[in-house]
Amino acid sequence: MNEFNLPKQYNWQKASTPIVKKYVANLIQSGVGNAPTAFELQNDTDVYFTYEYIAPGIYTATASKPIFEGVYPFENSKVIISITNPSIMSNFGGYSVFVTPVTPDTFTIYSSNLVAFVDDILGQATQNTIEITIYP
Amino acid sequence: MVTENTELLNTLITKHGEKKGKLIYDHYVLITTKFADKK
Repeated sequence: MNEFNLPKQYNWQKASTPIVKKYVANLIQSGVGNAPTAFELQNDTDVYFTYEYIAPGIYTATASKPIFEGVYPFENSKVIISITNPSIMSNFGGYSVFVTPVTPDTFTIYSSNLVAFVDDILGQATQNTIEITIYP
Repeated sequence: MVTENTELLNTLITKHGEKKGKLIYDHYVLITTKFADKK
């Protein structure tokens, strides 16, 4: 049985309405060399994420179960991950924080000044917000 | 030209195992090469 064929939750939903699942968290790194800590704002994905510090500007996140599917050219990709970083509003120069999927359960987070990955503290110590949306 | 970063590679292998660690490192090299080419 398809796990997304769930009974409707709201009156405006059709029983067949696919349920989009979402994980939203504030991601903060307390100091150089530390893994970022996630403060969950919402998580109905039934997936948990473990973050690790690898090197300045490079982090990994491992999901408790696979979230990426498909094979090249990934026509059926149903996962969207975005990170909003407000460092430019704090006069830190503005860092670009972006992710790249690695394996079905892992993605890499890069924090770049658009020249290199030189960010000692993810997003220049500003509070990042990560959103992972999984479509059925 | 991107300098080989064996420390990063070893860290990745320690944290994610050889197969996934090397894969993440390959992605890192690919992206840093693109940054280097842009300069």
